[in-house]
Amino acid sequence: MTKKILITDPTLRDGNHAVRHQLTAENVAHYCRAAEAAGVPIVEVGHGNGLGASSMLIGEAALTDMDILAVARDNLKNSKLGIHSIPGFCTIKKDLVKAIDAGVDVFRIASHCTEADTTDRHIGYIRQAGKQVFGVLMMSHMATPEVLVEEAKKMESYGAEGLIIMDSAGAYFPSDVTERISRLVDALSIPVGFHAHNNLGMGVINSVTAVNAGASMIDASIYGFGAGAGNAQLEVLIAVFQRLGIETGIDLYKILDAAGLAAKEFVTTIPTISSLSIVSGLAGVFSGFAKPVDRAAKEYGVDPRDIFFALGKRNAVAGQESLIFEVAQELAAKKAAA
Amino acid sequence: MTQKSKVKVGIIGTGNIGTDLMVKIMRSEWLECTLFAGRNFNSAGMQKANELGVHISDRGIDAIVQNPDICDIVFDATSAHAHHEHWAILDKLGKTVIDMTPAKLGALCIPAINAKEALDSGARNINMITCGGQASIPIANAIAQVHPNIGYIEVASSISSRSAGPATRHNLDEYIDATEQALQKFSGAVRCKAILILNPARPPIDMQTTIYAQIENPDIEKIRVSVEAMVKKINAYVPGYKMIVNPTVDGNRVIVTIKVVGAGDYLPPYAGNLDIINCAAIAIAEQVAEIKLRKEQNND
Amino acid sequence: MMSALSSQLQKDCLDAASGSGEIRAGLAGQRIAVTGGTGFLGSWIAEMVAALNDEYKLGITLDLYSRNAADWVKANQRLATRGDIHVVTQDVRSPFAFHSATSYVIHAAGIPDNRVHASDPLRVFQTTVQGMAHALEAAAQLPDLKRLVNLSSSLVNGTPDRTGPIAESDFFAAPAGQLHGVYRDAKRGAESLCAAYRSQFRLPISTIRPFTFVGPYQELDRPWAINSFMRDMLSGSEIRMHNDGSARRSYLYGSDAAWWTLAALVKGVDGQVYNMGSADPVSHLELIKLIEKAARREAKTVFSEAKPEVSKPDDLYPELSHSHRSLGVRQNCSLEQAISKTYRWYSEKSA
Repeated sequence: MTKKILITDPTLRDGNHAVRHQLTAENVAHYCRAAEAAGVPIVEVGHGNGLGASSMLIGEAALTDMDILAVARDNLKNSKLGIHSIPGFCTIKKDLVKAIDAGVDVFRIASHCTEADTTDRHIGYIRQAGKQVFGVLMMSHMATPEVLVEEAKKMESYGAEGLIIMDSAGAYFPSDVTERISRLVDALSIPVGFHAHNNLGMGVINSVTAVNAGASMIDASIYGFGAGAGNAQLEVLIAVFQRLGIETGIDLYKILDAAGLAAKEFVTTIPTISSLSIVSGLAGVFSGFAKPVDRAAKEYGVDPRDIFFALGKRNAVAGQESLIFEVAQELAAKKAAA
Repeated sequence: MTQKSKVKVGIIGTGNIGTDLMVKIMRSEWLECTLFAGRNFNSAGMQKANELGVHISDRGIDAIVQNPDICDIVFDATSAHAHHEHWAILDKLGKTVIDMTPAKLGALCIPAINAKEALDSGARNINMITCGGQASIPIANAIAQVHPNIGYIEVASSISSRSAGPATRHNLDEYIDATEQALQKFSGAVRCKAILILNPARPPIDMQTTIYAQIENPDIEKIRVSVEAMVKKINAYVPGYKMIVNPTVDGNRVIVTIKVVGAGDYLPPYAGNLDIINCAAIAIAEQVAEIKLRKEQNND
Repeated sequence: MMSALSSQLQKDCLDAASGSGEIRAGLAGQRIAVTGGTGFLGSWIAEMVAALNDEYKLGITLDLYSRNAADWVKANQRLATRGDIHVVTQDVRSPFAFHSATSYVIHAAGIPDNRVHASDPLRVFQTTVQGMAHALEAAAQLPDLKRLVNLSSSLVNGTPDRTGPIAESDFFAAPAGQLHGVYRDAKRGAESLCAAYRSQFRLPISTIRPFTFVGPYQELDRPWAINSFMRDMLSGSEIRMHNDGSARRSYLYGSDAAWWTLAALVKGVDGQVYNMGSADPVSHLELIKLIEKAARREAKTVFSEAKPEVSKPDDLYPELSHSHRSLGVRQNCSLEQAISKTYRWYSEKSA
């Protein structure tokens, strides 16, 4: 029996990070049409941090949530329209209700990998509304496999119909993927998915490994268009899956056409793996620390890359900017003592 | 010279908020905790109350119904849902209630901004909004005093994962809703947004809030003066409230970041988010008590 | 004047109770306490007692102990205002006492909502273990106690790794200290407490292990398969299956569950465990067909594109020969009838 994998394409959501959330209505319309023509099952659109996240804190999007959803809905007839959503940024009343009205088919409710219990209400609401809802655990390398299973089971008990773990920092090696995905597949009775990032150049192989370990859902974007070093490159993955005999329902030539269109229209900078991406990936640290790390490095006369690794050892998470200065100070003191 | 008396205060809700309130009230010159009521005797708070010699009950609101003289002011530290039921009863009994839940039935109160108005209005249900609200709204208000017609204000709070229990996690929507509503009221901004982020870092981070105000050509000097004055006002009842990023212009927005380090009365200092709402609640309750005692003295 | 729905519930109860005169005789004139009294089982026991008293003049007194009595009273005026039914506000996490004339105790207090198991495992542990301890202490004070029946859980013996029915003596290994095992481990702890009180305090205690149920008084918002299917059918949404639909469960109707529990009070033996549920398993797909029949229309069933190739074995239903023999009870209401009645109840409630 041929293996079937459900692909979710977050080009127009994770990719929004790459252009500081400035994707235009035209970008969205054209890509949706191309993705649908290629047979992409789920097209995820929105601000990089999801529904309701357009803000001064993260960055304001060119399009409002409702506008981007309207354009996408208009241009997706057979493919499903999906969104990413983090409780704490959006609420049921202000955001989810309107997204349901806008015709969203698939809701992916996300939390940091140790905070699954913040998703109870939102997952429950979408289930009650009869829409498809998946649970998502972000920065999933920051929990042990055991804890990841615990958090995933929470989302399953809230009614999530599938569970996706994200390698948000691009820190996983294939062995990490096998260990975590196989445990999740074993412990859950809902399908398991994987969302790769390419900081260490392993986006595609990690995705293939996830499938071998039992994952039945994979995220990939065109040209890998996504935050930081980008996601697994969708068109490469389709080619690889085709050779491996794995069905995705996506037409290879048509997804290559979509890549061509994307390159012309909005993937103005093809994702590459920068020094910052490598270092933050290896350190397992949120790449959004780049600016404050640079500042601290200059102020204390230390190498910014050393700061990243030190932060990684301290398991720093987003919001701990003050830690950066502490770490820089320590490194400077060590340097002086040497 | 007459013996200084205290106003009797009851607390319903024996979780972290209620227990921390009780410990703070023990230090108050104006308030005396005469009842600590919840639904079961097994909580840590109940045991703490017992240790401190405070009268405990597992009958919840019934403890007051059965003995209305037991307290005059009531802190409701239960849930928004339960508060509706409690207020209906306490209103009839003529009690003054300080509502720690996001039920929003009463007068919204930020002591540094509108303590006087809330008291003068004679409102007997005073709502303390949310912890993030108590932290950020005074700053938003201080900025709005300089620039009254702000188009957009956003407050983003980070609290440690450890300080957020099941109730907080289950009610993020209510938290955001209550904070935004109060932000609107006290800043007059056209659009408001509140964000709450739970941060699992270890050791646990202190509560931190950043306020963003969208203002073209801000008068940063005037804003600084206004904000500093407000911070001073807040320090009178929240000693651990600190500005860590002074009002700064960044493009078309003004940014201020504040941090709250808790007093460590019942919960550790990183739980500044719980501390600030409790400090604010005590501050207004003490003013209510002061007025009450003065009235009684004048009547003697 | 009773509504058609209420008359149906009364009839269901009388049908379930029609067999055994011995059990009815054993209940006559007794005072029954139910902790968790306003939950699914408590509500059905209230219906059953009302029906038995009205039809057979048994003179049973029923005390329902509950954490949120007020809400139930408001929603169930017909039962709550009866002279033979009393609703008492009591949280089992506090020590408490039963009415001194109580002769039968049904301990049904607990948190079956698996979302709460996930979000507040501490409260689940406390309610289950401390709640059990307080109920046993309160029972120990009763001069006329004839029996306490503990409503345990079909999960106490672990998750089956094979298909087929589960007997009271079947058990499956499970690692200790698992977060998602808190409910199971707490229920196991509760069963241990019962054994200790039975032995040390000579209390007459029996255990029921409930499997899965269907019927009015069940909260449709809990994300269990049967609830989701019913809800989706009622709202006209598509029913999405995220595995191949071969998972099998059995469903016992509320009136049968109430009757069996009362039978265990009268005929239960100290230290014995009785499974309670239906012996006839149905797959999720078969269940959907039954719901379609009740709704008189077809559901739009859709398989998730992401469902795994091979679904894991997933059976959870009881072996009932021991219960049938010992308690003299049988399943009175067929699954088809149960689904039909339940569907009708929810349609009329949501109209």
